[in-house]
Amino acid sequence: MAETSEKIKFLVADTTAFINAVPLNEYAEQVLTVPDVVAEVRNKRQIRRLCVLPFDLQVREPRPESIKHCVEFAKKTGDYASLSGIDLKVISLTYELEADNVGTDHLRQEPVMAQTIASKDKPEEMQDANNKRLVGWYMPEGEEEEEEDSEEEDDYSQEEDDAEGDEQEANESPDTVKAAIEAQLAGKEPFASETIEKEEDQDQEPSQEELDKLFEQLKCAPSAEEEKELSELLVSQPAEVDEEVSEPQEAKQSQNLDEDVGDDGWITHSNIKKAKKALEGKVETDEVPPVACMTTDYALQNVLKQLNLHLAALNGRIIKQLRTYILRCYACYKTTSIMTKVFCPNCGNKTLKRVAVSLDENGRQVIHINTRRPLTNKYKNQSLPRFQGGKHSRNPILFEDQPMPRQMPSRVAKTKTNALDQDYTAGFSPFVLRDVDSKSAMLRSKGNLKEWARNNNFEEDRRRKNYNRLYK
Amino acid sequence: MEAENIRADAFEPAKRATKRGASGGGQQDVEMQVDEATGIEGQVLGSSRASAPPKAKRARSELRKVSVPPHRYSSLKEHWMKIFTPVVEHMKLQIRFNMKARQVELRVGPETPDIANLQRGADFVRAFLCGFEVDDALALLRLEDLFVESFEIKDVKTLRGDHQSRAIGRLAGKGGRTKFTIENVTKTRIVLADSKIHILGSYQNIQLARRAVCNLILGSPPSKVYGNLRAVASRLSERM
Repeated sequence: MAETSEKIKFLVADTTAFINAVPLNEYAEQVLTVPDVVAEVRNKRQIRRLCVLPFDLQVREPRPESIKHCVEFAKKTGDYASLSGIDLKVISLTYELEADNVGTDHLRQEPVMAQTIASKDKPEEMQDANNKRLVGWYMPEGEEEEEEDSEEEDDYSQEEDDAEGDEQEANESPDTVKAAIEAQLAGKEPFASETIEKEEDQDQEPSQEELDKLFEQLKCAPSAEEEKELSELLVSQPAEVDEEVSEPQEAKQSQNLDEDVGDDGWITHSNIKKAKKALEGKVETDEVPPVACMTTDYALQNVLKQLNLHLAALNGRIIKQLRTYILRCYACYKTTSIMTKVFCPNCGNKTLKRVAVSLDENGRQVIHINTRRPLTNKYKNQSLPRFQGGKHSRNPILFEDQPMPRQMPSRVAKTKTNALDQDYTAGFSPFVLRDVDSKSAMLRSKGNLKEWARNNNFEEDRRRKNYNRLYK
Repeated sequence: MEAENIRADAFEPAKRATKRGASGGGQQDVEMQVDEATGIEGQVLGSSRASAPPKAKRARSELRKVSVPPHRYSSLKEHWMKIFTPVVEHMKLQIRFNMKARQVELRVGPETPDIANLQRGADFVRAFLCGFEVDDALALLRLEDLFVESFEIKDVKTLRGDHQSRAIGRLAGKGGRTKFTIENVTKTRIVLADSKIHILGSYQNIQLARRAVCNLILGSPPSKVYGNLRAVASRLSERM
C-alpha cells in the first residue's frame, strides 16, 4: 500500500488494529479511536507498543446523538446482542466522522435485507468464488466456457469483445428471471429493483442496452423512489466512465505487445497489480474513502456495511463486500460466530462445522448446510493412549482449555531466506541456516511431527488400514 | 576475418558456461545450446537491430517454456503469486501458465532491461519445479553464480530394493538432520525427490555437497561425512 500515494483521511481503529500492531500511519492521515479501546489493550507488550506509536492517536468520544442513532440501527440489523458497548462507540464515532466530513445523504436509515429465495441455493457470489481460475493461467484454442473465464484477463482482443457481448446477453436472461421470482416472493418492487442494480454493479462493462432497460424499469417504479434510484445511478455512472476511459489504453498496450504468441493470459509489468488483486480476491478495492473503520469483528463489520460506511482490512485495503460464516455444532445444533473455536461452546465436543449464513426477507438467519456431505460416526470410537505428563509431552487435544506444553521453534528455525532484500548480496551465505542443534530441533527430529500427527490422528484417517496403531 | 575473430572470442566463455551448468539429461543440453545464443548478448542485440533476423529465431530466443511435472502442479498453484511477482516486478518479464501444454511460459517484454533476465527467470521457475522453496529459488534471481545440479542415486551406485531405501535414509537422516547439516556446512540447498537429488548453490559448494552426498550413497557413516565436511570447509574458509 506504500505505492499508492492516497491515504484514508480519517481512520477509526478498533482494538484489533492495536493488538496486531498494524502500521496505521501508512494507511491513514489521522487515526482516531474511542478511549475504551485504548483501555481494552491489556497485554504488556502491546501496551508498550501503544505508548511509542509513531503517529498521533486521537482519542475521542462520540456524541450521544450518534450513539443513539447507531444503537437503534444495530437493533434493526439484529447485531445488537453480539455488540459490546465499546463496539457501539466505535460505530458511532465512524458515523459521526462520516456525517461531519462527507454528509448523511448516502447513509441508510433502515438496513437493507438480503433477498434469499430458498436456503438450499447458495448466493451466486459464493458459488462463483470456487470456480474461478487463477490469473495468468491460459488455455489455448478457447471454447465457449473458457472464453467466459478469459473475461477476467486484462488484455482483450477484438474478437473476444464480440464474444463478451453475446455472453452478457446470455447472462441477462437468468437475472431477469430471478428478479421476477424475487419480486413475486417479496411482493414489493423496490427490493427487486435494488437487486437488479446490485447485479449490474458487479458487471464490469454494462452496455447501453442495460442502461435503457434500467430507465424503463425506473419509469415503472413508483415516483417516490425514482429519485433515490436516480441518485444511485448517478453515483455509479462516473465509475463506468472511468472504466471506459481505461479500455482504449489497454487496447493500445495489447496492440504494442502483439507478436507471434498471443497476448492472452500474459502477466506483464503493466497489469501485474490487477493480477495481484484478482488473486487476493474481489473483496477489497483500491478506492480510498475519506472515512473508514478498521476492525475484524463480524457484527461490527455487518452494522457498518449496512449503514453504508466503509470498512478497512488490516492491510489497509477497503472491504467492498462481506460474506458471513458461522460455526454450527451438529450435536446440539447451537451456533457461534467466533470462527476460531474448535470445540462447541455449548456442549464442549469437537463437532463444529462452518456454514454460510444469509438473511431472508423476514430478517431471520438462514443457514446453508451442505447436505450432500453426510455426517458420519466412523472413527469416532477409538482407544486413546495413556495421558502423558511432563514438559514436552504430546497428547491428543480432547477439550477446550487443555493445558499444552510450549513447543516453539527457535529463532534460527523461524528465519527465512529473503533474496529480494537490499543487503542480500553482501550476506555470508545465499541461504539461511537450518536449525539442527537446538532443543526444539532435537525434539522435532525425535518424534518427527508429521509422523506423530499421522499416527495420533484420533479422527478420520482413511489412508491407513491399522488406524488404531499407536506410535511406539 | 575480423568478424570471425570476434565470434571466436565470444564462443569461448559460452562453452565454459555450458560445462558448469550441464548436469542433467539431453533436454538440458538442448537448452544450453539456446543459452549460447543468449550468451552473446551484445551481438544478438546488435545483429537484431541491424539485420532484422527472422521472427521464428527471434521468438525462440525471447521465449522460454518450462514443463511442469504433475506432482508440482498443486504447489505451483499455491505459490503462483509468489512466483510471478518477482518475475514480473523484479526481472521485468512476462509470464503465464499454458494449461493445455502444462508449461510455464516466460518472454521478454519492452520493459526488460537485459535479455539475460529471461534465462534467470526460467532457471528460477525450473528450480521451484525441482522442489526448492520459493524463498530459496529467489536467490537465483539475485546472485549470478548459483546453479542447480541434478543427479540420481543410480548415477553414483546401482542400488536395488531396500539398499536404495537405506541410502535415502542415510541422506535424509532422522528428521532431516543429515541433509540439514550438509546444507548448513556447504551453504547449499538440497532436495531429495524419491531417488533424484537436486543441489542449489555456487559451483564450489555444489562440489562439496555432491561429494558428501555421494559418500553417503556409497555407504559412509554420517559421522565420517561430517568430519570430512568440516575439514574441507575450514580449509576453504582459510583460503578465502
